[in-house]
Amino acid sequence: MATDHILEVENLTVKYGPIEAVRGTNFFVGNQEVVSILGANGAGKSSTLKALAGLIPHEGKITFLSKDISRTEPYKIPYLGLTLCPERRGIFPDLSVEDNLLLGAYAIRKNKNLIKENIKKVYALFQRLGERKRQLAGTLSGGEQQMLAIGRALMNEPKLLMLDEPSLGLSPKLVDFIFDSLKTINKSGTAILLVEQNAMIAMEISSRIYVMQNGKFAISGNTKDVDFQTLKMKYLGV
Amino acid sequence: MVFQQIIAGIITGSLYAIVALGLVIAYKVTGVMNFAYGYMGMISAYIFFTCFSMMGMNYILSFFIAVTFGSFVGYAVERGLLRPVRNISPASMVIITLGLLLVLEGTALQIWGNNYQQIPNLLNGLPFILRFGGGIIVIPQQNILILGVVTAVIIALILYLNLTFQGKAMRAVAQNEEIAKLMGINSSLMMSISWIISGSIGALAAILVAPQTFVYPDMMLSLQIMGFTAAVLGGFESIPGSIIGGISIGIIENLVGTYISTNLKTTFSLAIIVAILIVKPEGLLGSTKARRV
Repeated sequence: MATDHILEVENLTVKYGPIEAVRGTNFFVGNQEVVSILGANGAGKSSTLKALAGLIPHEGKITFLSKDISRTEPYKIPYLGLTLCPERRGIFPDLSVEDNLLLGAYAIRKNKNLIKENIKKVYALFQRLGERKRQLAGTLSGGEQQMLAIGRALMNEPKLLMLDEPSLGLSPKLVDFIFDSLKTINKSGTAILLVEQNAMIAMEISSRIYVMQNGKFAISGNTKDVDFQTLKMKYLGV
Repeated sequence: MVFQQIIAGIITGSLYAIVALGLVIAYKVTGVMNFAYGYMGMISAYIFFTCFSMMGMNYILSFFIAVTFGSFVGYAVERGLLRPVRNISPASMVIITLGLLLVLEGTALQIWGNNYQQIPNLLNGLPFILRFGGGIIVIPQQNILILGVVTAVIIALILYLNLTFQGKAMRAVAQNEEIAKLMGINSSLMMSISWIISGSIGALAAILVAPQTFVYPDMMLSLQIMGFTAAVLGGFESIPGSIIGGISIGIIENLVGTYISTNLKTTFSLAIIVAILIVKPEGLLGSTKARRV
């Protein structure tokens, strides 16, 4: 394994009963890199991320920061610096915005000062959250909830942030804002593994992409080498 | 007279309220409606009886032993009986807790027999007497104790759930277990803790009510039913709802018992509650959408 790869995945397979959602994929994420997994609905993208987070049973080998995490229990994974910002945001609706952020820092809960600093950083990145910190998270708009989900995922200072469809259900303007924020997050040193249906916006911030079709990678390579039109017609079904 | 009954209702209701609270916290975190709840507490009342009346330990020590035992029972039931079958349907879980009820009842019968055992009040001094206008209110000291302990438990629980990191993590597990795991929260541990809290509250309720009901295998039957009713009235998901539900039922029951008929007080109170639930099916403070399916 190359030392500059923070995540290395070998032969990842996810099965739901007799159906294979992910069929033996191999990929990696480099240090401070932004990588996207693209593909149509049901291609196996979300299953890949869920397997990495330990939420669903899987086969194959997952190495994160030179540590084999293939059999690690899901709640231990954030402690290693790998965080998943889940599909459909998954905020805690009955808790306040600030309590949602605090729970994001559960893995570093002993370090109160670091938590305070990180909350400030999140409010600097997403000012709207600071303005609404006492509000119940369930009362936020879709865009604000997405900001909260990303902010919460940043609270334990991940080395690699995984995001599942952050553009889902947002207006184009908000999507631009969210992806600008992802760029900022990446510049401060966090690697990003992104799963997206919105290929165009994802390609804007990614150095490499993997295109998934029926649980396998049909194309993989540097973003600049991939022709967007071919990609769109052949693999994304749009 | 009315005030006297309302005060008495608040005392009874506060016991319903903590039973409801114990049921709701376990339900919210693990999704199990525990029909053996009162009977788990009953075992602790027997432990108290054994320590205090049979072995002659002092009251406070016996109390702590019994409540600790109750928390252990809560832990053991969740960890040993319910967690291995977490993936079965909620209805099957209910059947399991009903089975547990029978086992606990039988066990108590085997060990301690069918006699009504007596536990004394902790506070036996003269009752407090309040006079105002032409009226008079008499409050036995034991009732002050009950109200004090229940209030302390409720305040402690609310502070724990709202101000501590662990309490917030527990609420996160109750709202969405999978997402809570993504935050690094050990949801299995939170489930154990919720049942430990629930179990110790059940033991506490049983020991507090024992001087009035005596200790026998079915001593908690009515408290359990009324606790359930209080929880349902409060919406089954809400802690303030359980408290308000419990106290309202206590007051309604006492007023019905005094002014309508003692024999009908349970029937009548339940009828009133059914009427409230017909008008407001989600309960007094329940949410309209189901969070945990």
